[in-house]
Amino acid sequence: MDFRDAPEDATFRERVRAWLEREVPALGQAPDRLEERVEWWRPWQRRLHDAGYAGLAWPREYGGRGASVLQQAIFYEECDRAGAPDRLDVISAGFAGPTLIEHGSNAQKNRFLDRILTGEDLWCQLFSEPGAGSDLASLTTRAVRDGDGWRIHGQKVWTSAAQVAEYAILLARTGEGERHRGISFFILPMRQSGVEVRPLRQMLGGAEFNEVFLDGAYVPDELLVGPLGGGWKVAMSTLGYERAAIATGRVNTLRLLDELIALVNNTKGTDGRALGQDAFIRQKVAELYGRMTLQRITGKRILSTLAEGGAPGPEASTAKLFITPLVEEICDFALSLIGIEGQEEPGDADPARARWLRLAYQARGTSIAGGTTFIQRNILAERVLGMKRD
Amino acid sequence: MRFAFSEEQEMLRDMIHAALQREVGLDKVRRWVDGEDLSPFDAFLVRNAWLGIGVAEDAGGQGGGLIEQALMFEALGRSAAPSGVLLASVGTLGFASRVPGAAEQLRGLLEGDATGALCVSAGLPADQGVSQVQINGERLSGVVPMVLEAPGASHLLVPIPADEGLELWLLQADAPGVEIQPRRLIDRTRRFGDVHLQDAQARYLGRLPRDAAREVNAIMALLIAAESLGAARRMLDMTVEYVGQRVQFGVPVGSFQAVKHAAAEILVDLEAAHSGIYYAAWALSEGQADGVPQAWIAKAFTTEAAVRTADRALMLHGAIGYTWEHDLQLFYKRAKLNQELLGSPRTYRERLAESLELH
Repeated sequence: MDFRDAPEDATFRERVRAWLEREVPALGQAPDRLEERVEWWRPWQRRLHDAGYAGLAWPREYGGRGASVLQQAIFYEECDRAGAPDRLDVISAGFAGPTLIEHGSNAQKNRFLDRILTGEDLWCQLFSEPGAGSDLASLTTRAVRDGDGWRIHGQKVWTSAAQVAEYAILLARTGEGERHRGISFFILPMRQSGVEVRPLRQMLGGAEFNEVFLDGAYVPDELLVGPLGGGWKVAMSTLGYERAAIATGRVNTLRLLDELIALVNNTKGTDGRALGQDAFIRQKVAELYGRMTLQRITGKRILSTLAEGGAPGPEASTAKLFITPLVEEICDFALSLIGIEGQEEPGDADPARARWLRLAYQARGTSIAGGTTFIQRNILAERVLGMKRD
Repeated sequence: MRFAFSEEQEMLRDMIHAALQREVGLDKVRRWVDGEDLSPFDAFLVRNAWLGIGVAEDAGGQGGGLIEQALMFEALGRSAAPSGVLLASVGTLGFASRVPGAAEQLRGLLEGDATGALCVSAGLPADQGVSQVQINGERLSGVVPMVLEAPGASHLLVPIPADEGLELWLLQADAPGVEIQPRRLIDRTRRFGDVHLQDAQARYLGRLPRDAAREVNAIMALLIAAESLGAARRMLDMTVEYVGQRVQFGVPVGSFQAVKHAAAEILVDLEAAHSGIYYAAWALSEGQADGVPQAWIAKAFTTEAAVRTADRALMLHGAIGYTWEHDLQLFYKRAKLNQELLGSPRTYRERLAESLELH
């Protein structure tokens, strides 16, 4: 056990910190609308890339820096600390890229990976369908043979960032067998006729995810990933990267607790007494703080296993189930302290309050995305505890 | 950054497991619960020199550190083995070794010539000391209720609050004016007793600074958490095995989602507890600033998680788990008692709230 940075990692951290302290303050506020935010973010991603911070843990031959996953984690920690822009390339660089590194052909790697790292191409994920959510293997989107390629027919749904994506990772049925056996994994160019993206408003009013209608969209043979009919295994890798990304901290819970403590210390109860003197509130903040530290330590534990090249242990499967209710509870507790003003429309509300509300809603989304909490519990029981399938 | 046990630590853990499996089957634990004398187990601890694990070699111990001690307590919890003497020894030696010259007086503890109890109420943090004992010259008077391992102890170490620290006084348990009334708690594998002192002759060992007392208390809290983790892991294993065999509606009940989800939730709790315990063990042994609060967090979270585990395990066993014959009760009661031992989760969360500067 040793939770300190190794000397070379400590040097790396110092360098990153100094660089971010120079670069981040000049960026200003990110635009709210996703389309504008992407254009605002691209030059930033380009600067990250030119400074050598994009694809840190990817192999050098694919445009990465060949650094350890620990250094990559240090980089994200420092980004959090410096208040750097939220990553918009989580799907492309976080899930799609690693999937291509693991399963893609050399031609695919050469064509796509570098453009993912520079931020030129954003990607989306076309997995879920109206009839295939938790039971993903029941998907019905078809890929029909057409010359040296495939025509795609079907409908996808809950697709984040489809409106700004150049490419998608796509699951479609190629007919080799039933359920898991008849599915292939494709790269789909999004900017073509036959792909129609319709925004779906989420319950908070924003439209960051979409329905995607596929009506004869074309995929050439060279964009099949892995063997024909072998897409399920590839997709499982992608979902593993998704869960790992959620578990190792797309939400900076440490900062949330700092903000919660500031909120408590700056708020008076209806009786005029300081909230920070209230025994119930002290207990609750301490409980949430404790769970936050356990979540962050578990993140380090997962990274440590990955860094040593080991297979992820049970902690990697439990981590998403630990963090999602935690974030929900932190936000809900903050909103309960704010009271009715916390329920104001986020567009009208004071930005600090609106942030709690948005995050509270987003947290619900996270508990559903990449396998709902209930599906994760099934997976944990069956694969980690070895309980029987029903 | 590395979160993993060393090869030596894994060997020690396996060795302790094997020895406990050989020496302390659940049938043995049951005989202790039924009233059989616990002292052969004390002798087993001394014979294997487990009291010295985590104690520096130059102080007569086996070396190793807090991570090794935590692994040992997790193993003890897993076996429902009596752990009170070990915990009491960690407390007494921990207090004494942080006062110059005092540890010499207690050296016999490691060789089995003496057994020590920390004379504080077992339901409160030990670093609060006992304010209800009066000092008159070198004689102590007062009542300290519910002292861990007081029955059977040859020496009592009494910490009395004094200017930002604790004065340590050493008593012989058989001295005139010392009376110990045993108390039985629901987990009978650990001994408790009320200590009555009436002008009992004591020896002053020195003053323990406040921070040192807090550190020792944090170590004890952490070891209780590790023990609860071990007990909870055992209950999870027992439950998964049982629901895989028990057939209702024509299928094993473990194939029902409600059952799987309950088991999965236990695992989520326990993996988080594991992270917190071994981080805190590292942080405390390296003198990191967050070592003490992380031990409080580990104690509050893990002992509560083990209690949740216990109740889920009981429900999943159905009526058989509610019987005296079933072994679940051994772990169930340990989990319940550990939640209160050395201070409740509420106590440690209040300490944490204080350190987070809520005002």
